[in-house]
Amino acid sequence: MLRRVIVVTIMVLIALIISVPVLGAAEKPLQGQVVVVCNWPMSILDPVHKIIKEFEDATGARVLLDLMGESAVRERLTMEFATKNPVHNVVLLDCWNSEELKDYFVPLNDFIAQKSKPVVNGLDDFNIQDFDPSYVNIMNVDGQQIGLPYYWEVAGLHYRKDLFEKYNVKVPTNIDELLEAAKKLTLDTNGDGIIDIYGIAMRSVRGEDSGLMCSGAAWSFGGTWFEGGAATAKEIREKKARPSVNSKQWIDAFTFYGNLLSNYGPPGVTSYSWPEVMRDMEEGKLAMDIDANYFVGPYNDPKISKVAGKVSLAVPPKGPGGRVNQHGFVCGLGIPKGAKDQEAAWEFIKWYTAKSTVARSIIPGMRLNPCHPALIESDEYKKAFGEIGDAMLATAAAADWEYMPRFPEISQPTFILVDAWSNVIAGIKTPEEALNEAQKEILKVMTEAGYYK
Amino acid sequence: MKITKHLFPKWHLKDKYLGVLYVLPAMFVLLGMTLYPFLYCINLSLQKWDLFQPNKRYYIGFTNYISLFIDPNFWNALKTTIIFTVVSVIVSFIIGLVLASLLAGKGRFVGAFRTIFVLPMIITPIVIGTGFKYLYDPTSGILNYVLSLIRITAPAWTTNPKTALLSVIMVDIWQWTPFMFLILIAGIQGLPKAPFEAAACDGASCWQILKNVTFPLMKPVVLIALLFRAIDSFRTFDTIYAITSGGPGMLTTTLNLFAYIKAFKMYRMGEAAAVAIIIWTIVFIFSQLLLKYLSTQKVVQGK
Repeated sequence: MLRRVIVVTIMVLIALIISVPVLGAAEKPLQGQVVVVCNWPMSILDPVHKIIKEFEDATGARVLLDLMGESAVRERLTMEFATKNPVHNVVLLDCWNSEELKDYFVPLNDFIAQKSKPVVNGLDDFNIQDFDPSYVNIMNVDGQQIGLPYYWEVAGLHYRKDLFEKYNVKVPTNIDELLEAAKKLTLDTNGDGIIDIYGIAMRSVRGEDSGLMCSGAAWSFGGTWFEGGAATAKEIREKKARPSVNSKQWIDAFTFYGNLLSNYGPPGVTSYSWPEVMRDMEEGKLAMDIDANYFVGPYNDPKISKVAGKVSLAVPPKGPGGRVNQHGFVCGLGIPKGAKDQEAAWEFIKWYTAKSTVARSIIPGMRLNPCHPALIESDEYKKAFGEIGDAMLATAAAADWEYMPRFPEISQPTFILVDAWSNVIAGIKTPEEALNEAQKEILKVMTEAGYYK
Repeated sequence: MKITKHLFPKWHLKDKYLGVLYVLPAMFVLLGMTLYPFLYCINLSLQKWDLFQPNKRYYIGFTNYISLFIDPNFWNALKTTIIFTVVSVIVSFIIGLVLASLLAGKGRFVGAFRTIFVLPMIITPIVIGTGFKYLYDPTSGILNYVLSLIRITAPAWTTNPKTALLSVIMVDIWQWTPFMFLILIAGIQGLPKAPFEAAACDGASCWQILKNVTFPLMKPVVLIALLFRAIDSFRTFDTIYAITSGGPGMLTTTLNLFAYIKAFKMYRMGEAAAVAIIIWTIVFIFSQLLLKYLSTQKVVQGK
C-alpha cells in the first residue's frame, strides 16, 4: 500500500512538472509563433539582441535572428520578393527604395491603430508619436506605413581635431576650405616619402551607398535629379520632368569631388564603402571623411579606434548651391506580404523599435542615433555623449531629405549614377562624358517606365 | 534482377526496364535541378519583369536581347570576359604544364609538392576573393607593404584602371593553375613509354620529342583541360565580386557579374535572364566545337 502511494505521488509530481511549462505556455499570447528576422548586424543593436529573451519569455514567440552582411541581406530579400515566398517575417526596409518595394510589404496602419498588448516592457509604452515624424514618413508610401524606423544617419564631416589644431587648419564650412584642408592635411609624417595620412575619404564603391553620396554631393552644388527639382513619381509625371544629371551643377560636383578624392584620398578610394572609410579613420590614416554622422561614436571608442578622443563631428561643408553635402539614410523593419506569423512579427517590430527598448541600448551600444527625439534630448543621452551628442543634433538639423527623389524605378538610375561616379573618381571618364551617358540611360529608363506619355 | 523475378514472379520487369526504373529518381532530381531552371530562364528572358512591379509581368519576345545588343555595357562586359578567360586560361595552362612536367617523375618530395600545389583549388572562391581584397589593399594590404620594404611604390591594384583587371586575372590563375596541373600530370603519367623510347633510340632531341611525340599524344588531354578551364573562367563571378565588385567603373565587370547587377541591383529580371542565356549559348557553342574537333581527331587516330 505504501509503495502504491509513493508510486502514485511520484507520477503526479512528474505529470505536474511536465505540464507546468505547457500550462504556463498556454497563457502566453504568441505561443507557437516564430519571428524570423533578416537584417544586417550593427553594434548599436547588440544590446537589444541580448535582451530578446525577455520578449520570448513574455510572449511565448520564438525569435530567430538571421544577420548577414548588408549586400547579402538585400540580395536575400530580392530573392524572397521575386519568389513571393518569404522565409523571414521581419525584414530590413531601406528608405531610399521604399517606394520601389512597397508592394512587397504589409501595411502596418491597422497594426499601429490597435492597442498594444501589455505583454512586456516596451510594448506598454509603444506610441507612434514617440518617433521622429520625418523618419516615420520616409517609410510611408501613399499613406501606407510599410515599416518602422530603427536607425537613421545623415552626412557629417568627421575630422581629426588634433591634426587641425597642430597644423592650424580651419574646420571647413565650404568646399574651398574643404579642398584647402585636404591639401594641407595629406601628410608624410615620418619623412620617408610615403603618405601616412590622407586628406579625405568618401565612399566610391559600385554600390547603392555611393548613389546616396554622389546625389548628396550634387545637391550641395545645386543639382537635382530631375528638372525643376521634381522629387516624387507624381511630380515627375505631372511636370514631365526630364532627368537633369548632366547639368552644370552635377558636372561641377563630380569634377570637384573627383579631383578631391583622386588627389587627396587614399589610393584605393574607388573601392571604398563605409567599412573601408571607418577602418582608415580608426587606424589614423585619414584627416577627414564625409560619411554617416553616427560614425563619430565608434571613432571615439577606445576599444576599436586608435584615434579615440581625437575625432570630432561637424556639419558638412556647403557647396556653391548654398546647400550642405547630404547623405540621409533611414532603415527600418517591415513585414513581407505572405509571411507567416504576422502578429508575432508585428509585436516584435513594436518591441524592437519602442522607446524603452531603444533606451536600453543608448549607452551600452553607443547608440547615438535613436529615432525618438525624447531619447536624444534626455539627460542620460547628454551626459553620456556630451558635445558629440550636440554635434549629432546639429548635423540632423542641417539635413535635407529632398536631396534624393523617391519613385518606384529608383534602383536602376541609382546604379547608373554609381557607375558614373566610380568612372570619374577612377579617372576612367571625364565628368562630362560619364554624366552625359548617365543622362541618356536614365532618360531611357524613365521613358520606358511611361513617365513622359 | 533475378531477385525481383523470384520475389514478384508475376510483376517482374525485363532487365532493361528495371534499369530505367532504378535511375529514374536520380534523373528526376537532375532534370529538376538543371532542365527546369534552364527552361524557366529561357521563358523569363522573353518577359519583361521588373521586380518593383510585381503585378506587371508579360511577354515581350526578344526585346530583352535586343536591348542588350544595343547596350555598350553589355559589349564591354563581353570584352572583359573574353580577355579574362583567354589570359587566365593560357597562363594557367603554361604554368600547369611546366609544373606537371617537373613533377611527373618520382622524387623525394614530389608527393609533398603536388599536395601543396593543389591547395588553392580546394579553397572556396569567395574566401579567396575576400582574402585577396585585403592583400591587395594599397594602405593596409601586405602586398604593398612588402613591396614598400624594397622601395617599390606599388599601384592600387584593384582600383587603378591599368591594373584592376590584371589583379583579378592573377587571382584566377593562382587558384586554378592546380586544376590544369592535375589534369596535365595525369595525362603525362598516362602516356605510353614506347614512342619516347623509340624516339630516343632514333636520336631525337628533347625539343623534337616534345614537339613530335609529347604534344600529339597529349592533345586530347590538353584540349579537355583547356575546355574545362575556359568554361569555368568564362563564368567567374565570386572572386571578381569579392575583390572589385566589377569596378572601377565597369573595368572588371564580366558577363556573369553584369547579369547579377541587372537582377540584384537594377531588379531587371528579364534582362538578367537574357544575359544568362547568352552566357550559356556562348559556352555551349564553344564546347560543341571543341568536342567535335576532339572526335575528329579520334577518327583520324583510328579510335
